[in-house]
Amino acid sequence: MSTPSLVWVRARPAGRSLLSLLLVVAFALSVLAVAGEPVAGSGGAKAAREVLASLLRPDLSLPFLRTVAEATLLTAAYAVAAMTVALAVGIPGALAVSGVLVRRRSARLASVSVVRGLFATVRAIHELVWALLLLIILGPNPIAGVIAIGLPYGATVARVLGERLTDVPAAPLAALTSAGSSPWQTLFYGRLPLAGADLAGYLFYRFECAVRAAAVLSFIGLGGIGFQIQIALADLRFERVWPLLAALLVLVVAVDRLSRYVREAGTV
Amino acid sequence: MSADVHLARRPTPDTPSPPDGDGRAPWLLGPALIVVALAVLVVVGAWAVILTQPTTTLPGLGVTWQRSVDFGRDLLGVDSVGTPAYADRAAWGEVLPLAVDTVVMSVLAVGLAAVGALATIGYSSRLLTVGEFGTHPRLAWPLYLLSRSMHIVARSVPDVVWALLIVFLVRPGILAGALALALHDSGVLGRLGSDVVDNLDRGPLRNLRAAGAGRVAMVAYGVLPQALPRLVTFLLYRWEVIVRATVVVGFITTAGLGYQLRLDLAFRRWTDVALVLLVYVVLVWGVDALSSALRRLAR
Amino acid sequence: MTSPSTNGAHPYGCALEGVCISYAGQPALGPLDLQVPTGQAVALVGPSGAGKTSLLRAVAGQRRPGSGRVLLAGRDISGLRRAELPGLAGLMSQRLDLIPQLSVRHNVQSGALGRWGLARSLAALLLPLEHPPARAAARRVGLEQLLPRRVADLSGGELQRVALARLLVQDPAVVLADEPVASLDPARADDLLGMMRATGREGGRTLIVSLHSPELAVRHFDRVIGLRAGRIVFDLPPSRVTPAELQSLYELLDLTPTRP
Repeated sequence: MSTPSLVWVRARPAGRSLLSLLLVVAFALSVLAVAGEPVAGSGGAKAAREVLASLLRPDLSLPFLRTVAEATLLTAAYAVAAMTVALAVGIPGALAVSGVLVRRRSARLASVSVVRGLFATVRAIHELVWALLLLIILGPNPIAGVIAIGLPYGATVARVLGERLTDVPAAPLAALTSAGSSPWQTLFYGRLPLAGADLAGYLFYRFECAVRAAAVLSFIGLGGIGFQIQIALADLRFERVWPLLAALLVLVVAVDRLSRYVREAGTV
Repeated sequence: MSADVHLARRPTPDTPSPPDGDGRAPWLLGPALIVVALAVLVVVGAWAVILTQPTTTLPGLGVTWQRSVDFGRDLLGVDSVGTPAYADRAAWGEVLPLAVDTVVMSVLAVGLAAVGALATIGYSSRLLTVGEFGTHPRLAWPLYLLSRSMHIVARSVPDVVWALLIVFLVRPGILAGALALALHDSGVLGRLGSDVVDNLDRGPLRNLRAAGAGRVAMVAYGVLPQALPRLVTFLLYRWEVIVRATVVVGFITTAGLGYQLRLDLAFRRWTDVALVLLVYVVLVWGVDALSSALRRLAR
Repeated sequence: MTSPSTNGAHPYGCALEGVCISYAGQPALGPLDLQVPTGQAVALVGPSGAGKTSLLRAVAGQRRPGSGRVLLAGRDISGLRRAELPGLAGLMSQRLDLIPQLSVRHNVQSGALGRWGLARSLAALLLPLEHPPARAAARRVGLEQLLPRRVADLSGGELQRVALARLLVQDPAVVLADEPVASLDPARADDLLGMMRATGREGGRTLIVSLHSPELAVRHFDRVIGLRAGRIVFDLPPSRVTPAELQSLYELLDLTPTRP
């Protein structure tokens, strides 16, 4: 009798197999749900050809490049201003949701759960939906755009920052505490350095997201790269879309480089 | 008694003073001082740009508060006649199918993004192309650079802008929205995925190669088992992000809750806006909860 | 044995009365009675799991005993205010628990946090200011040249000395150290223990150190206590610690089931 070269075994943990199955089935169902829809757009193949052809002759005239530069600057300004709001909301928020400054357990639980619920609601709503809602209250006002991005980002920063500040190794913090360090002192001498460069890198990643979000504030009629793209598309001037996209790309990549640099400079 | 002893043992003043010895500035901010100054400059400049926009106004706190309260009352339908939409069975009947559409759009988007990312990660990871375990000496660099740039472009353009472009090519609807979301996210996932692969533990891979494994065997036995659980985790995280974004992309591709929200806002049907927002927030929370449950399953 | 030397201090730097500690129902220490005169240097020896760490943590106030009392300079540790403890006892744990991302200077200075307000702590962290006792402590342990370096970049022996300098800045009356030389080669171990002894003597501090090596205990300390399974097996001046005694300490353990 020969030994078979392969036999069936239960190789993987059941949880993972189940998960893979679930994900594949969910995807298949979603495909089936749209399978009957017609696919071709209004312009059809002709529009596709035009869009692609315009790639070869982008509008690089000086006046338009000036417009691109101004739009890029404005988008960057929106992103930076929004990040200052996000930090102004997020840093105190992080201290509140993580409860790292409260010694008493019961007080910590109370403060943490109230603030968490509030922030979870703010975070659930996409920044552009916030923009639409703030538009109604503040009118077509750049401040509305800044707050619209800054508010949900602040709530996200609060959660992530809070998690990073709590997920640091406990022993060095205990050593500081036993040397008489107060929660605030432990924050600066222990938690922040331990969370370290990763944290700064994350904030830059948020900044990168803010740049993308700022680019599409045209939704509420505010200027910037997205606004110019919308104008170009409305006029069917595809050759103007590409330089604008390129400018956005440069902006995002620049921030991404900065984020990587910060992370690597801190961890090496 | 013991406290006195304790004090007596400390003759030096208990105050920090400028250092005398090693010359190098010992402070944390020292080397970064220029960076800090630059950052302050950038922030001030940005706010200057924002505040000097022609449409910028700084409404008083009182006015803003009053308008917010009014808007809140509108949303709740306090002063309106008739049943507010959120208390109306028929309105729920209209919105819930749209919520289903939104979920379908998000799942489709995650799936397509995963397919797009998985198809390209092999080429965009340094390790498997131009790095230690690359095998195609001539095509490695072009393939690597091409797939990397594809990821960068896909990621840099926001899903909303992709949607604006896609509606020229694909009929507006769930599929168009899903494609726009997937395009952006395949870039995000592609980048995260190639980072995961590049940071893999090299030991098992070296062992496999020493055991004579080919490229396929190496990926199947060395790369995927290590990388897949992390990729699935990322996928679920991105699902949470995508569900939030479906509403915005739906504005443009006229699908799901987003389109409904746009119509309700345009026609100032405030209580319907409230209903859509309610369903939206509950949906996002539901997906967050489901995603974290599934992530626990992945561990 | 050295007699209590510090003028006006309580005769006993530290005392344990019927102290018992257990983890998850498993007894780890005691019941234990122990009195350490002020200024004495005590070595705790014994195999892993003997209860050395539990004893040190109890004296440092980091582990509340299930029963019994811990007295520091005659005062019950459970009656102390939070701010009083750092001046009475300080523990250098086996993992050292330094902050790797900060410089040696900031790690050493963090020993003074208990005496500083927030403003002063921040100034010392962010501005080019130095705490003179921190430099003195660093000089004492031979680290002065390394003050600006990041702790993450130091070697094992240097890390031990940073932790010691931090403890010197904290300036507790009772210095506790858990296996401070476990990861050092014999020459460096001798060096570090000599340094601990000397700094202890200078400040009139009481010293309790747990060690794996009985040889080092005999060479550097006034008193050697053998612990096994949470009990004191012997308590002798170093001259009277015989090889037979030590052998019994470690051999007997092989017959007893060890706890994880």
